Amino acid sequence: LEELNRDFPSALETLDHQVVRLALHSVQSRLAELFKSRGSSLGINEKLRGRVSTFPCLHEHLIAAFSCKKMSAVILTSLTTFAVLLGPIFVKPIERNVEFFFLVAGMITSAVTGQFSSALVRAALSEPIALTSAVLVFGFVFRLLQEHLDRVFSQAIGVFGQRWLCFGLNDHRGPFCFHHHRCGSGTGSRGGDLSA
Amino acid sequence: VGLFASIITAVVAALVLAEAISLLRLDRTAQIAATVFGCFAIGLGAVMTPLGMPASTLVLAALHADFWYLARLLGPFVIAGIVLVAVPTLFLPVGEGDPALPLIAESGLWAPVLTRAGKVYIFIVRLVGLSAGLRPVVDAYARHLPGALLFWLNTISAVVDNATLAAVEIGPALSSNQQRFALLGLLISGGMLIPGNIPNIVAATRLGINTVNGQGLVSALGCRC
Repeated sequence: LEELNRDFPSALETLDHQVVRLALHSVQSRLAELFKSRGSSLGINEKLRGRVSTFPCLHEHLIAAFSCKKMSAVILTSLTTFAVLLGPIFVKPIERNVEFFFLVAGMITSAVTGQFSSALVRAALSEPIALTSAVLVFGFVFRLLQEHLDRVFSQAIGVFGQRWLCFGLNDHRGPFCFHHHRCGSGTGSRGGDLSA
Repeated sequence: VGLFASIITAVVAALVLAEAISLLRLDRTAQIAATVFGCFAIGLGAVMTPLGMPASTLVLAALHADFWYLARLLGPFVIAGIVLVAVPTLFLPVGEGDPALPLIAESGLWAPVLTRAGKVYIFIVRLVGLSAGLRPVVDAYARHLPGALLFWLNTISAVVDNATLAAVEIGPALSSNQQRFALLGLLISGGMLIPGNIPNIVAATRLGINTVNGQGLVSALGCRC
């Protein structure tokens, strides 16, 4: 156990500290059980050390991976991250069913990492309410005012010109205030005579 | 529109933008460029409150922060960014012909409004689950990355929706500076291609701009400005 403890600082440099700490704790408990059941702790320790040393530089990783179940969660969630980020771009079936894919990926990763709970379900269902309500309310308002907005935009084009309208659309400090002048001429049209 | 987007939501701001763009008598390239600049501005402005866009909702939920946290964190950068993307539109060539990008008609009066809200709801639900699931891993690794690296890593947001990246990446383990770098990376690159951000998708759908046009837009930025 002392030798194993000395080996682990090198593992700490290559693996995540928390994972290795958990792994170390797990390995220590497991070895303690082994030594107790088989008698000579020194002999078992030598055997173990000889076997894993055939994988130079990897034995720390292997011990960590086998003894710490969290490692599999880390690997799975890392793979999920890549799948979520790159899947919709490169895999057509994922792109076509991206909503379902993300939902399943979210459920799997939260289950694997132990985050899936009723609190998470409640949060997932309640977090979007504010934004959804805003989209709904302003969507309705926009729909109701759409024709009026068209007229305002057409007048604004006539008053300020297209360049400044473009600028005003991007920057709130542009001359996109509708109460300076009346429209003179050149109102825009959209597939018809909107100025009318 | 860019700054109003944080109140009226990026989705509705993009609809307003599309409405206005469809009235402009610009040639097609210039009209697409104006749309892109507008979407950039909306994408930047909408991040300031949780009502603006899904990414800001997810970030604030993950950080358990207050309503104005992102406005305090990113406000000066957002205002400067909106002004910067507005200036090039002054140099777009103005034509006299008919508008090149008429609006694509939506079927039904209220159904599109309900559908859009429903899609936004489902979109955020699935990302909240994903965000919670990936949080332990991301917290363990992302907090060790310097802010500048986070900024450049997030250029992938050009092709991946920035709400997805925000859900995956931003968490309480990141420092304020790391959060600022990461979010700015997401917002800036999110405006470059259509899938990068919600306003791009909405405006492109309303104006019938496809990805090829969108990439042409990048060339439009180079040629016209």
